[in-house]
Amino acid sequence: MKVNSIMIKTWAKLGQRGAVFAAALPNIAEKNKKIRLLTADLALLSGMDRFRAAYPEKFLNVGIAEQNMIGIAAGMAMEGECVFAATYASFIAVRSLEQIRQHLSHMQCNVKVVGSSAGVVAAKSGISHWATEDIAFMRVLPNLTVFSPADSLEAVKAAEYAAEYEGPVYIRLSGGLNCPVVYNMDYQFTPGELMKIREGMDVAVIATGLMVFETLKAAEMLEKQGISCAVYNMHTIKPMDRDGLKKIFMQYQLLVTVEEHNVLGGMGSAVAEYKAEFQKSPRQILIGMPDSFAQAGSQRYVWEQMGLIDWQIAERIKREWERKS
Amino acid sequence: MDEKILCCQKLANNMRREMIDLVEYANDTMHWGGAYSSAEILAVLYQEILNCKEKNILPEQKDKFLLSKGHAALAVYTVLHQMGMLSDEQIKTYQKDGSCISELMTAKKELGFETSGGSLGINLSYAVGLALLAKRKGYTYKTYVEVGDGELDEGAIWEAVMSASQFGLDNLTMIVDANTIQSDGPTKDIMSWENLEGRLESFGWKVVSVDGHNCKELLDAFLNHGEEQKPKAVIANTVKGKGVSFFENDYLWHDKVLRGAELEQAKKEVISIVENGF
Repeated sequence: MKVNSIMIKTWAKLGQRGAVFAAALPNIAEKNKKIRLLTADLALLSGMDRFRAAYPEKFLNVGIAEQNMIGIAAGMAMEGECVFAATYASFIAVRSLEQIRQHLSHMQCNVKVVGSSAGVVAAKSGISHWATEDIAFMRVLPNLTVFSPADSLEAVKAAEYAAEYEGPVYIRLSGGLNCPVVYNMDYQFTPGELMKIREGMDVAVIATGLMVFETLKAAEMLEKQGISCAVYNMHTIKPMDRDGLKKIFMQYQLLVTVEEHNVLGGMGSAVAEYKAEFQKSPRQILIGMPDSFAQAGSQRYVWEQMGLIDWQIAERIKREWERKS
Repeated sequence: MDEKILCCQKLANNMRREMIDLVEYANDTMHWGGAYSSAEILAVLYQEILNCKEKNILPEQKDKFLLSKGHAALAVYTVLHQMGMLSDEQIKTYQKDGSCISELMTAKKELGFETSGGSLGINLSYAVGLALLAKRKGYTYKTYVEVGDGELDEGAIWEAVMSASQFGLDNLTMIVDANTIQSDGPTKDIMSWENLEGRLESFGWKVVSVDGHNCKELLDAFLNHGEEQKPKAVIANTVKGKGVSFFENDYLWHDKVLRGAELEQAKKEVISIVENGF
């Protein structure tokens, strides 16, 4: 799909979820006749009206029954369809985990699981509606591809790719409306490739999802304090870009990972697992949700408890950098 | 008709004998009770109902059979072998390292294993997906799914039950192997499904209750009693372990190693059934 600046702005306003379901998927389905869209009673909130109106026969609301949705999606996919199944990340990746494991991971049904409001964007709703462990659950399932896009444009690109790719995919959508823009012009999205989006000499920071934007701001703050940070966007958690990581391990002495996810089992853990294979590699600081639940409130309030706001990220990196020197 | 019924019963009896033969290859625990209770169900389905035997059949016409209670895999392997859809070589790999003929049913489309069934409660949803797609695309295949009565404990079953009637899936048949015993004992003591007919009917299903060891009743249930826009449930009232005296109605023979004198006794009994009938 050709992307212009108006689209980027509109998609940003719609947020990742709206960009994928309201804007992109109806267009994707126009070309790809195999696309189907299932939801567990979250059509309205997800902006699926346009898709439903255009393709009533390809749309299905299964009711508030996430496990059933994954099973139905798998059955449909086994006869050659490309089925998107979407609801809140907290429910789709947790309640239907076993169905995802059996039907998608093991049987490799061509289902695209889209978890929206991942992280803590539903901050005031409390932990029932947060997804701070979905990366951990999804990345340990063989055959699954796991995307965690940084902004709305990238979310659309991940969905476009998933629609053409044959195999199970999890797309982690985070943030609400007005998603911060990391990419303000079209770019080449290469699945499985760690993307360097800021040059820096001293510290390598790998971020994913909404944390890419926070990390870029943190890097600006640190630049003014004389610490030069390279920032990488890990939009593909699985398969992980081993070559890209290897280069980082060789080049830097301090590595930081930032994610809106439990520090246990998430993107940072994935990096650390691979890093453990190397005799010489940089020290790694994992920034994310400490292994405890925060208090509900506004998103900034919840992020602050987790140390995920730009200035907190910057302070933490500075502290670790000074400790090193 | 009588010829057909006789043929199905013979097939079921041969399946029972062959399940015992497979001990030779496995020499480990095997799930007896639920496989023996399913013999007639599978014999009638594969012999008379399922349009899946011809080699060149189009995918959109090929009927689907899903074994949701994956622990009854023995019954599927033996019916497929008896029908010539699994080779001698293939079935001899039962429970061998690296074999697709594993103790519990694991998906392998090429061999006719449509889904992985070990985890209970998830494959009725899968069947709903298959049936719904057929409806929407105008495919003519029918979807049949066998669940256990113990499996009805799983909440996900009822999500799927609700959705099948909501979507008007009259191309879907759920067979409940109602052998009244689950792993730990009688279903009525653990989680009763009493008045299952009424429960399913109230969920919008067409329900037929039959003697699950009577091939005529089963065939009639599969061929008839359909109702437009309604999914069909065939409650097959069965005896767990049917065919081997000491398997029957004993929950301990749900999953157990068969060897020594018991193996010899079981062999005698199934051979007698093959030769003389029940």
